[in-house]
Amino acid sequence: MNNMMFGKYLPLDSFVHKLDPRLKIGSLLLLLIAVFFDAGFIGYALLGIFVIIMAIFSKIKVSQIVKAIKPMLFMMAFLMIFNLLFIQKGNLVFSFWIIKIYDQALLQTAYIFIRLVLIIIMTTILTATTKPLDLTLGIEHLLSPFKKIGFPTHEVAMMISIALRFIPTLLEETQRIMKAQASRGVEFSEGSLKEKIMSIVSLIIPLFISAFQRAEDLANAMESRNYNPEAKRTRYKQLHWRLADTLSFICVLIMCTTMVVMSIVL
Amino acid sequence: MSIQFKEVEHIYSENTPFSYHALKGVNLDIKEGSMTALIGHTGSGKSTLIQHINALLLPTAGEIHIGDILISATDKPETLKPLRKKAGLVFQFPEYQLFEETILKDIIFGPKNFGMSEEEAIKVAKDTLKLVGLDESYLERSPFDLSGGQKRRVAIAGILAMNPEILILDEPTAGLDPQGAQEMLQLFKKINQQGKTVLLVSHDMNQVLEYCDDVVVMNKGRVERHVTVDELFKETEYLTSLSIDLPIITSFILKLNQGGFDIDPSIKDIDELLKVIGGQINE
Amino acid sequence: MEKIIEIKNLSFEYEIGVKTIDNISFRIEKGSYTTILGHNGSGKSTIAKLLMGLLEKKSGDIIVGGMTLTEETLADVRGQIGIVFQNPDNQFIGATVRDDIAFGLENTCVEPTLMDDIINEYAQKVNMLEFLDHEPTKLSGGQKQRVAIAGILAMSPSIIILDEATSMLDPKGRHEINALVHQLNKDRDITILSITHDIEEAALSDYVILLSDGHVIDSGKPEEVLMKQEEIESLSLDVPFAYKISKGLQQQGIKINQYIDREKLVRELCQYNLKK
Repeated sequence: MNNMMFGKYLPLDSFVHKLDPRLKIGSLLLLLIAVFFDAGFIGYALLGIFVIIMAIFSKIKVSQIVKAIKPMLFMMAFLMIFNLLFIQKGNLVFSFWIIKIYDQALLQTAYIFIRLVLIIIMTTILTATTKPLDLTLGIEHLLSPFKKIGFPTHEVAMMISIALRFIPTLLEETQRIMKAQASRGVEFSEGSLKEKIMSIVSLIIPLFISAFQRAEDLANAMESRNYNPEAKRTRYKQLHWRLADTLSFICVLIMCTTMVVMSIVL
Repeated sequence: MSIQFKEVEHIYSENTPFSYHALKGVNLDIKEGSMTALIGHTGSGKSTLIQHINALLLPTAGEIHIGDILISATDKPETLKPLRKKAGLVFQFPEYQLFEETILKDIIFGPKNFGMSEEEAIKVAKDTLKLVGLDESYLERSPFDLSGGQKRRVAIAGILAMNPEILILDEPTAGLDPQGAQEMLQLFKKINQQGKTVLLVSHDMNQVLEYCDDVVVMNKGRVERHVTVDELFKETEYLTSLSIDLPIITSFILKLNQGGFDIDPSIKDIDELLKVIGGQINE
Repeated sequence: MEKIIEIKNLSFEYEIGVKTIDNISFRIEKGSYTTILGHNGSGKSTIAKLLMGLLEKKSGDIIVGGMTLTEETLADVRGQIGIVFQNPDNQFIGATVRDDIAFGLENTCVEPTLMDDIINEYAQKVNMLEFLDHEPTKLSGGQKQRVAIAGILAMSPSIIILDEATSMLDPKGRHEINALVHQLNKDRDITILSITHDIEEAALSDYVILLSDGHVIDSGKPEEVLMKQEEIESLSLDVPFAYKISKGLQQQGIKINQYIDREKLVRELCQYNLKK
């Protein structure tokens, strides 16, 4: 689990690390939309170059990007095979038994591959350069207009940040319970279906009980420190929008516009 | 059963930036039937060490002999399941491993996993429940309705019911009140007197002094001492350097000796100490 | 002496008809170090939760710093009392030490520009300055409890409650927290209310309240309360070591005083030994 790269923050000091989380989240959303405009290979090449530049400015290594893509390979392969076999447009280029592959299918599949890779790299850049807490803060700010229609922006942000805070604790706890049950003869990797269900139950129930206990303790601790979700609070972490953020945002906008224009022209 | 470590190394997440060298050249020989304390700071390698004894962790290098079972770096954990029955490991706060609807079902869970028949397991469960100080009326109750101390007894009964040859306890009295802790330790002593090897991880030197024969001191991944309890508490400077407290009675005797008394610091028993102090005062 | 906490005829039940706290009254002096001593299940942690307004009392009054605890005064009362709970992990709210100390400041609407100075000041006070950017998983139990205390101090409370705050720590962590708390009690005149089953800790406090099955069995100076051997043992507790020794020696006909403090006993014994 320690080898997972996708979604992990890398404590480096780079240009992108210093950018405002609001900018990074907003840009990711725009770029994710842009990816789905069919801007042809030239468009994707441009976007690809843009993403590579972002990665360079984030000081992320190629090996780390490869690591982020690796766990997704299975899903990508599945999607690609599915596409190859089921899109039946254009000219037949290959035929064997009931398998028929058309040139349109090849083209579409190539697009899907490119899009997925771009999406993973862009998301990795966001999570690798932004601390989880800053991410939540950014999300909270971006969602704040919805407060007016009664959306509990602050509560959602607090929930996300507490969840992030407790993920490592609960992972540790999971390992501990697995070991405790293994000491009682449970084998998590082997056994019949019935045994497997039993072993999962022996993990899940203690985990839930302990999580509820933690939740209660945490609620007490938060209340004792005068936390009241409905009351006004100040925030220690302040976001600062700088010139670099504006300039970066302009670059992102230009890139996205290019994709849209190219998809219309082509 | 005896426990032997030969040049055991353990490195977590080897070859990654997170790699951590938890055990360094550990040699250890724990005699069958002894009651040994394992002490040292948080992070000194105690929990890594005890998890090797029932093969939850495998050594990165070196060999471990548990009775006549050999564990080495190349073993597959699957083949070592029988070992888990022979070396029962009670984790810290074991009450968090309870999960069954009834106490009976929870206690027989372990024994059944190791192939005991249901009938026999039930019989054993009744006996062990009595051993940990709860009567048969508890068998059909839910473990989650019990107090914290009772839950812990049930969890420990779940390990004892497997009838292990070696019992390893990771701070079994943490969070218990004084009487609960004392009863728990008396139970382990009793099990030890029935011929089982007991290894007790503890931070409380009073417990070590009162209940254990030998003591293993770990520091920074190494076993620095493996001596009798009496010998250990003579090394006051060494213990201070590790900021390990002396037992209350030992430090009391040392202070009296500084003030002009001449009392044997290895006295463990209050009544004996009273006699000696009285004797010296009335001389 | 001025009373900072007054509990009058307080009762509480988790289940209807089962009184976890049964008609309790006691008072705590301002600036004192008071321990509530009782075995597991005696109701001692429930009292802490009632004081913080985390549980709703059935009847009776809780008065903190002259204010009666009600829905309206809840925030003010919580502003006066800080509490350190048993489990170090479950009260660490922030992503880092810095964020955790800031949490209480955010709740009381402290100006964000002032926060850094406050955080530094109290992190220094508890010796955690070099760990400001550490995540909780990289800290020991004792360090986490120190952060909890820094978070409380930042709110400048007049009372700190320790709800078995050291029972999950190793001896090193326990010493650090005990020393810190005693120092805060002395230097800043912060009233300490420590809930514990550690008799040796109680022996060093100013005032002891003995609790069993939701009743106050006894209260008073530790020298008065902790020497009642039968009473203490009936509560599944153990009398202090110094008391066992001094009483044992008296029974041998040696004329010394009874003690609960080991240091004092050692002094008298040595003098006695020299005199003869």
